[in-house]
Order: sequence, then structure tokens, then C-alpha cells
Amino acid sequence: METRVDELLPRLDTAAPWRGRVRAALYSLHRFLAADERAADLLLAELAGAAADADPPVAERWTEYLFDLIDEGREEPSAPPGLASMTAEALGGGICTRLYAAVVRDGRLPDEAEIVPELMYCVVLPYCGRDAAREELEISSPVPGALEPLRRIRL
Amino acid sequence: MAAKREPDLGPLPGGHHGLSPEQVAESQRERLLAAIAQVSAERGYRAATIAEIVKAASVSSRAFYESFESKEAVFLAAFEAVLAHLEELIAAAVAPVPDWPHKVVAGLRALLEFFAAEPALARLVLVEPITASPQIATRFRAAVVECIPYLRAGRAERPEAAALPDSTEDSLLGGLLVLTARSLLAGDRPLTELLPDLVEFALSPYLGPERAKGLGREAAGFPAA
Repeated sequence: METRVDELLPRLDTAAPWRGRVRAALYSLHRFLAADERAADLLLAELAGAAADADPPVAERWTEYLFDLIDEGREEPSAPPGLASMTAEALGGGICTRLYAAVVRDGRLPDEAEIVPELMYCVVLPYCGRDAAREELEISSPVPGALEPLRRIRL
Repeated sequence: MAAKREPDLGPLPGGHHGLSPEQVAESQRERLLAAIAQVSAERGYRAATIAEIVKAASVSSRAFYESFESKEAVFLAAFEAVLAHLEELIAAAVAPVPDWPHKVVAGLRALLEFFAAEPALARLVLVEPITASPQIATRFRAAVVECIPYLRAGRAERPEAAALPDSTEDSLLGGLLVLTARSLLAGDRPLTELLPDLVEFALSPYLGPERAKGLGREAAGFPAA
């Protein structure tokens, strides 16, 4: 799985604005997990930092990817000075545990149009403020094309 | 901070110890609860076996099955016991505090101090439940949901906070749990050092980033401003 994760990571457009990249990553992650029940179970447990007997390199690569991407929010012009890098870890962890909790509770992930904008609200709020966060609630369209690299990943 | 307490898992003395059968059963049950925490911390819940648990508890397999029907059952019993203790700790910590933001600080401080003093129990409630079994994961999830109202009270702090998305508290709690669990697993610094960051993260959506950061600094013992 590790090499397949490598296939995924560079394919998101690194020149795109930060919010767009995070949004694309979250839609992609959601679709990937929704398409494979076992993948969701494994990955979300790993991403939540809780799988003591899981494959540590895979878990580490995914968490580093997600946390690093979110942490780039500190470079946004609107980001408050002195925001801790731990904020990204908490936000990324919150995303993973929310998705995992939905699987535990309902046996499936919530609809992407329902959950991704709310997750984006939480990610954007500390870096870009309330107005930008509320804009995310109105952006409900999936990101065409961002899913494609993820389709090739199979656990 | 409370001193670290090593569980006393030694067997009851043999022969005529003067204990009633009920007292013996209760002692064995308590040692099995301590043992599941100890063995789960060392090996992970899924790798732990009943043979290891009864050995750590110094009880017989028969005694195990007289108290619990399965490994899952003893884990859930230990989980419930720790949760009940945490509820008491938090209630005592927040009771004398007048305002919501400082109640959150007091509650988080009480939790971190307990987890720092009892790493095996911390792992039992924070780390293992997510991957242990569907029933345990469901109980863990219910425990998280029970915490939502305590954070949601912060929506009354400012008009802007009233408009937060419904899922805000769920995401915040997930973030707090993951930060604490990952720090516990990393073991690279005292858990109590997380307090300022946890305070800032938890309070920021309700109070705004500046006031939340100030309260985080205050929690660390620095002037808030």
C-alpha cells in the first residue's frame, strides 16, 4: 500500500490555492474510503492514531500528508501569527475521527456533500477566519478529476 | 499531579484468609480489570489473550469466566470503570469554577493529569477502543457523544459562536482525542504540556483565536495577554 500512497501524493496540484487543495484532498479521501469499506475501516483507524498493531509506515505517511497539507494554512495571509502547528494535527485528527465515528455509528460514511463542507469549515476557520469558513459551507460541488488517482489505490 | 500508582495484582494469600466468597470474587474482579489495562497497554487489546490476563491478575481461568464471559466483557467493564472515575474527577475539577471557558480549562487539566499519572488506563480509554471490537468502538463513540453538550455550551459565549456548524463539537472532540492519544503513544513529553494547545484549540471557535490563545497561555502559567 505504501508505494500506492506515493502515487497519490504528488497528483494534487501544488500550485492551486491552499483551500482548494485541502478541499480536493478531502473529497478525494472521502470517495476513496466510501468506495472500499475495508479501506475505510483500516485507514481511518490508522489515521486516528489508534491502530497500535497497524502498519506504522503507511499510517505515518497518510497522517503526515494530511497534517502537512492542513498546516500550510499557516502561510495564508489571514492566518493569525503564532498559530501552533499542533492545530493542523488536531484538525486532521478531528476529520479522521469524525469519519470513523460515522462508520461506527451508521455503518457507512456520511454523504460527501453533507460532511466535506463542514469539515472544510473546521479546517479553514483557524487560518482564514469565520467569513472564509462560512464560504466553505456553500461550496458543495465535488472536485472533478481529483478522484482519479485515488481510484487506482487498493488496499 | 497525582503520583503514578502501580496496580497491585498479587494473588490473595492461600489457605484461610478470612475473606468471604463475595470479597474474594470482588478482589478477583478488580484484579482482572487492572490486568486488562496492563496487558492491553503492553500488547494491544487485539493481541492480548485471556491466558495473559488471568496470569497478570493472578487468578484462575475459572475465576475469569465466573466474572466475565469474554475478553471484550472485561475490557468494557474496565472502560466503564475508568469513565466513571473520569466523570467524578472532571465534576470535582469544574464545580468551583464560575465561567465556561475556565471550566473547560479545568476539565482538560484534570484529564491530562490523570492520563499522565495512569498511562495504561489512558491507553485503555483513548487508544485501544477504536480498533478493539465493533461493540467497544460503539461504546467509545457513545462516550464521545456524551461530551458534546459540555463544549456546545460555549455557543452561548458570543453571537458568532451560535452559528457554528452542528458538527463543530464532534470535530473538536476528535481533534482533542487524537492529539492526546498521539502524544501518549509518542511518549516524548509529559502529557500535561499539551494543556495550552488543547485549550486554544477547543476554545478558539467559541471565543475567537486571540482570547483562546490567551487562555491557553494562562493555563500554562503565563499571563493571558
